[in-house]
Amino acid sequence: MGPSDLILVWRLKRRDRDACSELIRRHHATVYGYLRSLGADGPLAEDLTQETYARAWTRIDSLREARSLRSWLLAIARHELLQRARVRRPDEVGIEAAAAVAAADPPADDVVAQAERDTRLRRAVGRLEGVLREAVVLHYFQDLSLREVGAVLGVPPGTAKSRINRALQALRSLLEKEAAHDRSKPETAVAGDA
Amino acid sequence: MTDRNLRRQLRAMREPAPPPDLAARLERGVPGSFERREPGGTPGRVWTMARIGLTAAAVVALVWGALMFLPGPGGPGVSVAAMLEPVARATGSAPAVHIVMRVWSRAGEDFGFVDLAGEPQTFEAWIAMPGAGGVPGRALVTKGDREYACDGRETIIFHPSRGEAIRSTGCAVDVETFWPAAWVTQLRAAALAAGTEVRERNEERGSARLVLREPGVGVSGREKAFIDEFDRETEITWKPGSNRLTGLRRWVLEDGRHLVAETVAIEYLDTADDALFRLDLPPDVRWVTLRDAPAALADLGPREVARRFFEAAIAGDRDTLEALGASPHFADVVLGARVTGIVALGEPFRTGAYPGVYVPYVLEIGGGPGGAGGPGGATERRHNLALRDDNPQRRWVFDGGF
Repeated sequence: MGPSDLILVWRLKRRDRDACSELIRRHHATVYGYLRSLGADGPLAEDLTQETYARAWTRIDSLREARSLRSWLLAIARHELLQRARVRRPDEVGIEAAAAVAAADPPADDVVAQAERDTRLRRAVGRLEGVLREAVVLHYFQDLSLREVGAVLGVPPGTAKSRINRALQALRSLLEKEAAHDRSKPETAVAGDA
Repeated sequence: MTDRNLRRQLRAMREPAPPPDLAARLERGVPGSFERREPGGTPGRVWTMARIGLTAAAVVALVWGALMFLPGPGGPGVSVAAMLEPVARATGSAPAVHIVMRVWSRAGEDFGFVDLAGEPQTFEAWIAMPGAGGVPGRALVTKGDREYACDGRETIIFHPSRGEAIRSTGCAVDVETFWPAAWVTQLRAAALAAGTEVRERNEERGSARLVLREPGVGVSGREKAFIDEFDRETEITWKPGSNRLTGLRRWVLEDGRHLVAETVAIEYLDTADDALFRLDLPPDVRWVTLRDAPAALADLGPREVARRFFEAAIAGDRDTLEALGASPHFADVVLGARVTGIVALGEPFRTGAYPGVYVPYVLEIGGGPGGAGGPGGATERRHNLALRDDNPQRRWVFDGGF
């Protein structure tokens, strides 16, 4: 966290409304994107982002380390998602449905190849065991340090690191299996398109 | 796919963007207990009130300004000192303060170090001064590259980037450095000193302001590096009603007028809970302790310690570097700098509130101008090595400045 977050937290603790606007502007896309990566669909992610901020306004005084502002927000978002997942209705997308995120944003024509790779990778991330998926999302998608990942997940940084390593192994295995499956498809499928 | 490729792809992936109106909806959810503030102002102060106050403030400024510029008995310095006395007293009456400052210094340097070419660093401090009945002073200071916590009994200095922490007894932080009342007291003393000029005094919009210009102290031929060594101007502002300091800015006068420090905020606290002065250290923090030194290194003066330190850097002698106080991480930094020669070592000097000394030095890096150079292509390093001896062994040990 940069020094500016120190000042932001200090202003928030003084109940400065402009600081609230700054906190929203600075981090709401991160919170929303994190929730989507964990499997929430658009409406649920919006709903939970609002709940995350509502919690943040009431709990800002409990934030001891201003440096961890972003990971603190993500930890709240994670808690809200887990709470919702425990009581989710069948029509809501829960934490186990991350793969659905892959289809959420159709790619533009000129980036189809990249988008296909992203889709494959995102689908593979969605198939990871929950604790591994969370570590990957926080470390790679959110650029959190191992220490911050540990803080969000409530585990030591060493545990976060080992989860990420296990996740990378599992991802590689999943992607290799998928590639092998693609290679084994009969050529007629392609010919049939012609 | 290799792990490296996989990691690169993962980092390159973008998460879905939020809908454009989400931020506005979140704004609507901010509770009414959060209020709009003007910069540096009080909650709820509105422009209408400011406008009403402007006319009156202008009149007050004229009268107050005229009175202030009348030299009192003993000259303007004496009248300024008298004027600042209630400001110092009121500013020091709070049990604790919280300040946020921007300083043009450098990572790894003392707070008084000036780096005119550098980026401003923000630091934040919570300070409780020693109280009656032997209550110790306490401090929590965060500054770019390091954090200091003194709970009155011991000090912990934590370097987040290195993951290293150092523990020492007593308070290794000079709490007066961050205590606004001490700034006022120092300016009172400066106002009476020879060479100090009162540049401006005025009061407008409910704020009193004073600007003093002070001459720098001599540096005996070495380069100026610390604030006291420069000709400088200091501006303080305070509220005439409460007499409490509301702001401080400092400029050095070196080929122009350069801002080198300014307060972002000063908050006076009614209480100072112990929890405020504790650091939350990561579980994998590495505690660094001062190693025992061989007898040959134990009784050296600061200049000789600096020489041994640089000789060890040239020889790649990690043991000696660590025995002279470098942490394992910092020994790596020193050895990686490719020092190849000592060009000059100056006389140790003290400045500001730093409890140790500085030894000016010029080093040859990477074989000098004809050589391969060091990291970044540098061929010379010119700076001041910081050494301190406030450790149980009373040895001079490395404390920064490389």
